[in-house]
Amino acid sequence: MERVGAIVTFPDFERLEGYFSSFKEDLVAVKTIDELNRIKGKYLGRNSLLGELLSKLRELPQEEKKKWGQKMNMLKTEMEDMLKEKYHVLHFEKEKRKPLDITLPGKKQWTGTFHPVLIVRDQILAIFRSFGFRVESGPEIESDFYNFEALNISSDHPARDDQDSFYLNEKWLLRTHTSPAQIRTMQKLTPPFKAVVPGRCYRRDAFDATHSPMFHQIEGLVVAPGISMGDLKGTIEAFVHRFFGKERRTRFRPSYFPFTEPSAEVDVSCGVCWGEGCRACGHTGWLEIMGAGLVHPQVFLNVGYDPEVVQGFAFGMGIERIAMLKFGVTDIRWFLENDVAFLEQFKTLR
Amino acid sequence: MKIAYSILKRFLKGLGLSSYELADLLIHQGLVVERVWGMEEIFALPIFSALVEERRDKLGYTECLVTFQDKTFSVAVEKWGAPSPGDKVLITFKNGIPHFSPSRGEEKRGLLPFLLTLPENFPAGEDVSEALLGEDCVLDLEITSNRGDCLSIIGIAREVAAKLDLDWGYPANCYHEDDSSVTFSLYDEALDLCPYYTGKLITHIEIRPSSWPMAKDLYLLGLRPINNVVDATNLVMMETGQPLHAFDASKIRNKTVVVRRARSGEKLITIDGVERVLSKEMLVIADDSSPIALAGIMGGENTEVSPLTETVFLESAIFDRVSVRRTSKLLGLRTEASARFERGVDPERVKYASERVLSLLSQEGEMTVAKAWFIAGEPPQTERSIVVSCQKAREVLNCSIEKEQMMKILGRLGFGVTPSQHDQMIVDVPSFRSDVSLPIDIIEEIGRINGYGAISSRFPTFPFDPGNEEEEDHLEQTIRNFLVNRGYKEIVTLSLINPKTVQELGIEDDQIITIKNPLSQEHSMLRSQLLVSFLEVLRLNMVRERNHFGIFEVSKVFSPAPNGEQSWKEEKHLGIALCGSLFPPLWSKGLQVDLYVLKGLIEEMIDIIGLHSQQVIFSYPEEEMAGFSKVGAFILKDPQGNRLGWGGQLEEKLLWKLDIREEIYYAELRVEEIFRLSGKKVLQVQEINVFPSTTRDISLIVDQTITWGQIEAVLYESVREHQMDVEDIGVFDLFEGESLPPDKKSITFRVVFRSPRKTLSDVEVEYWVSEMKKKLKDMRGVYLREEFFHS
Repeated sequence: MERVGAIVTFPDFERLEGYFSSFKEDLVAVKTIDELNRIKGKYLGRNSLLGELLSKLRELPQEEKKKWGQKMNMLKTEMEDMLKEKYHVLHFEKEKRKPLDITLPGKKQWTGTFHPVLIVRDQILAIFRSFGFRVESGPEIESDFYNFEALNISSDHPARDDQDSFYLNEKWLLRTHTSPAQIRTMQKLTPPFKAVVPGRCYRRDAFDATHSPMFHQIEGLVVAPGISMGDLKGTIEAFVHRFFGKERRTRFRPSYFPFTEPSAEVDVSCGVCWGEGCRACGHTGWLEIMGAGLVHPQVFLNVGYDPEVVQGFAFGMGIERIAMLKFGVTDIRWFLENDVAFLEQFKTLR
Repeated sequence: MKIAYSILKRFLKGLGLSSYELADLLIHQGLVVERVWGMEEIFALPIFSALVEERRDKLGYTECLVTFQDKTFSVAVEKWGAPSPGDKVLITFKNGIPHFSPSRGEEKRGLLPFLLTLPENFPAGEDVSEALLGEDCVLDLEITSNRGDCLSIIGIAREVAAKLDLDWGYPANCYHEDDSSVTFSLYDEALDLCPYYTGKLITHIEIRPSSWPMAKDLYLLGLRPINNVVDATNLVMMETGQPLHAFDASKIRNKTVVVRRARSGEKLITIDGVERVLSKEMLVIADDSSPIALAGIMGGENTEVSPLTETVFLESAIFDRVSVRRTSKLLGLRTEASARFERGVDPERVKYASERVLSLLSQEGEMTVAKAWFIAGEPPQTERSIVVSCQKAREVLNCSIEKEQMMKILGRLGFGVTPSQHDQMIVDVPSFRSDVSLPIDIIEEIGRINGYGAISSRFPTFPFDPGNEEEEDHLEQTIRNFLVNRGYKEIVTLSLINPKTVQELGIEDDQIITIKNPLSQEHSMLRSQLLVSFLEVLRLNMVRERNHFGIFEVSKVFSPAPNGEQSWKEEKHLGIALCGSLFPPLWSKGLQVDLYVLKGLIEEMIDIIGLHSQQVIFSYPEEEMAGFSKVGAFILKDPQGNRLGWGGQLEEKLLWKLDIREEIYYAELRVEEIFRLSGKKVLQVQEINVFPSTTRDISLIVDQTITWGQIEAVLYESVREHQMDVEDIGVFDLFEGESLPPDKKSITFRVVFRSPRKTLSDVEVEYWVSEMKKKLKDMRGVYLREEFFHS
């Protein structure tokens, strides 16, 4: 490295002044950060004049030491500040020279999505949890006792045909609804209780736009003394308002299920035409969303409850159907196909 | 079930609703109105040709070519419903598409039951809607399986009467009988399946087409007019719900009718022209040698009423519901009659129905009827009384309804009601309501007619229930959230899989459950792991050129339980598959997924559910894993060696069979087993460490067979021995190549030291590094880089 001033003497203001002005001249000429680093070494490094002078300070008498020490430190600080400033200028100049094309696409990673059927399931469960319901579960392989007998579906009922259920052997089958979980829940819990049970169900239906051999249901069951159709109606209306929106109306129609009496079918007013009648609702203004009713006394007897002491209501809804209504999905098969482009459309729901 | 407004009016006095008001009323009483058919453009057309083709299911159908305004349409109809060339049939248009009959259910199959032949005086190609329907309308109803009584006009009339408080009634019968003696024998050899059988003999009648009013009625109700006798039985069935059958009496051999079980292998050609092979459990009507009808389902061709028929044996009976349903199911033959017997008919109206047929026929033309009834058995007794508390009804329905109103509703529905003390009433159930047996059934009737709209809503009032959230559900939710936020798409796949795929792919599945009655071979097994379902999803997406994604599913898999109470085991698995590039590989370099992306994902999951990396151990599979490439397969185990999952790169050979050309990485975890390890943990925050860290890099040259895991284990051993303050140890360079001997590789890793108590001195750190190095040098096939090249 080049040395400035080989012979060191104290005190020598002029030399220091000259040292400082040559530093300034050099600094002006600096164009790159590399050059700047070289200048820094030349004037402030261990082997520079200033460095050597500083290291020899202690040889001076006390008075002199203080005087020169202050001076040289001031000079050093000023030079360092100037270097820092120059560094900033060079650094930002360099940045200016290389503008990025911000119109190029960003490096997006994959977009995750929940499955639409499970989005709807989770939304429904969250609403019922907020109503104070427990979430229970049951097996998908059920015995005919749980799936049929205990639910008052007698052995000559059409629903028990091979035609409609997948059997594994004489006694066991894939559950055709989540209603067997009603029985299991009653066996597990002690009234009063409120519970919902989600799950997969299977029926011997060939695939078409509205049928699938596998689908999801949510079953609800409330058992307590004095439960009435009014409790069922109030609960379901509250659910419809939460899930579909305050402006949607609910309609209860009589219906028939072997395990409820009285039984009802629940409709919600069509959200496309607001009840006027359109293609979405088959020109009726109403969309069927669930079956419901008061628990049949025989069902209570089947699990050892006394129907004179407790009453209850139950309901069940098909999640795919509700998801189809909610998202305007026209073919149930899309749910099981899992085309990632289909799934990606649900990215805003998480 | 179809009803026509004009026909309903005959059974109800003072009905004055519009068709839509009527539909609305029925819907609110639990009778689903599928459709209301109003006036439509109806045209009469000549038919050109009819062509019969055989179908594989042995049921024949006929294709009719129908021309209308120089255009020819092809219609598929059931064989017995085909008109002859030259006949004029009915056609309607909806949005320019011809509809030949308003039978919606049949249209779905693309097969119509029949074409309605119009009277000759109808001109072809003109609008006949006025002549046919006028102001009338037809309602298509769906009747729930408990309400057999509503499969009749009279049943619907009762429902409307109850709501509107109208009078309803059966029309009175009027026909002439003569005293001529007839000989006919009737034997009921199966009273269990046919408790009551009645026969009536028409000794002379001329068979001809029905009058237009009767043909029109049948058409409106969705039935095909055939001839006066058959049409009258069909119309009465629609009116009363009691199916009847007319036999050509001259063809019943030895004038003997026997109700009995079929003999195994016995055959009968039914009137649809199909030969049916019968079995022992089926009930038939026979003459003294062979069957002449399938009881309650369909008559036989051998005794069918034809234009040559002069004497008719008219059957009206009760057949066992279950027997009819089983036989109809076994033969795949469902008829209007079987549908009614399956749901139960009114035992009190069996004879009435016969008399109603005779009344209608006597209006159609001359005939003589023998006075005698041929009867076997007797109508089953159905009488029962139910005591109902009115207060209970009000409570269940949560509405205020007067006792008088309840009694009125029940009375109009045909129940006998006697008021009783203490706000009670005694209700006699009519013979046609076999579905009613408990007080709650009566309450439902009251609620139904009073309207569910009158029920006032409220919330169940409950003691406080703290609710539940199972730890496993919570962890499952955590995993799903994590994966979705990481960019993975959740899928839902069918649990039913194709055994052929399983076999073809060579995926081991000896523990698989087979479905006894699958819908198709394709879906005849229950999956024991998720991979097969994933392959289908991968294939579909690849075909559609979607090549960069990650998918996952948390779902149950099934296997037979080894032995125990429950014969089946259900277990939740998590499947994850990833392929392509994590970034779009367009203008920038993409980041191709590989085994370590998959592994990293699993490690992160283990981390966030609170497990330690030593609790879920990655190891080599003991044997080759079917479906996975040899180089990239792994097994996950807990410290006891239980299998927690598996994964790796899917075998190319397997993927090629599915036309997948991308690299796929797949893992399947037994999440329930993993969650079990997690247990409940209390999070305790540690002091934030603000002391500076010191890092040291160590380079090793090691034998190819040495794994990082082995080195790492040794390092941590020395960390423990000397209580080193180590924050992290991580590999940052892996190298093998020309500058190294072929059996060696170079591994450089970085150790970060940081103490929670103080700033570490160089001396301490150097000491620890030298201890680590010492320990490493003791390993076989491991050399420090600085020493390896010098030695």
